[in-house]
Amino acid sequence: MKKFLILFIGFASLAFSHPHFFIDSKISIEEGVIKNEWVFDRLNSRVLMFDFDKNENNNFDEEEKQEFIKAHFLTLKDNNYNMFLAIDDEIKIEPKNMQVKVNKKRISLHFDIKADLGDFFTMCTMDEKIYMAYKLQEINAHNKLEIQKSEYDFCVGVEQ
Amino acid sequence: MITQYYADFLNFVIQSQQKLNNLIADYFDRLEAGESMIFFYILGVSFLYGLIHALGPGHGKMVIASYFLAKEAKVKEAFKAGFLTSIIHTISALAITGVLYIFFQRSVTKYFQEINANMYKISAVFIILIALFLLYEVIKDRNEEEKLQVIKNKNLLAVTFSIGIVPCPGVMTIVLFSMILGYINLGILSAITMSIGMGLTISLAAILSSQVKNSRYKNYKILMNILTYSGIVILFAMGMALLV
Repeated sequence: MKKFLILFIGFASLAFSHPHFFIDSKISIEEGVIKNEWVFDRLNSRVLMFDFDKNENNNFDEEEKQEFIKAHFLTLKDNNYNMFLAIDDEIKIEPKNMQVKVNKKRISLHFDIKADLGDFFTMCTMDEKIYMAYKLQEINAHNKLEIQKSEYDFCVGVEQ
Repeated sequence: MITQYYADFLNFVIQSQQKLNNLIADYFDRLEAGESMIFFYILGVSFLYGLIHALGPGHGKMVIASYFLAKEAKVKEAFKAGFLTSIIHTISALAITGVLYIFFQRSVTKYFQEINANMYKISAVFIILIALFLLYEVIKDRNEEEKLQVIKNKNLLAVTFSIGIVPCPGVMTIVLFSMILGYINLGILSAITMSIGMGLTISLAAILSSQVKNSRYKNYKILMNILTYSGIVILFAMGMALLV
């Protein structure tokens, strides 16, 4: 059954998936918290600015921020915000301190994940349709991490 | 081994797309700075973007390839099917972007995502219906040559329509980006050149698949029957996967 399901998902991704958003991902692992930053590509940033920067001041005001987060981040909740995080078991992601900024014509989404990672953990991006291509640009951590990355996804962690 | 090759290929496709995506943004900056000749570069890059964009997974290449695996067809037909898919894919994106831009100016990306998701479901239903229809066609007794030809042409349009109706988000982004900056004509022209690029790639997938049926093994009836049923099963499975 499991093999059948994998085959099924594989079919779906082979049939129709391709990246729409190109996101540069920056991660900082600190005591009890994983700080994330997703920087959107310039083309999509400009289109998203048009949609959400209603007063055209080239920045996101509070209301605009909330609208953006609701439309383009909270909609990912069903897919665990396109992330897989496991310490002993898989953890349900609950993003905190969500922020949206604009820098050099690019939109960046910031959020924290509260988690005590301990000695062993795995964190990966997980968007089987590759609607969002995540490229790991930067990672800071106290531990020595194992990193696997491609042009559209990545996995970081400490193995047992 | 094969999965590694596939991963390397996917990496290349996505990396190239990202570079072209950045290049388009840079060229628009130069256009805004007054370099009017950059107009042609934007069209050229859009063509390349379409070509590469359709190389990656998606755009119904698997659907169209399965269709031509199940059905015997000439190269000309396969070529036509690839371009028809790309044209419908582009027109769908252009039309939806245009309507959203006119009526819901400041919510285009939000609504586009919703429409896109629903179009996948509609597309899935069509793909399942095509698979069932092909199965019915294979099973039933076919003697009337003239009637067969009519069905074939109708089928071609149905299969390209069922894949093409899902609007291409790549086209939407470029068209909308151009519209926002006030270059509506350039946006539409970019969508057209992008569609030509995509059409070439999708056609290639269709032609390659159609050639399997026209190969030197075409006299091996059992093998050809297996290919036909495999094509139908893959089509059906893809339709179901998209629907769930």
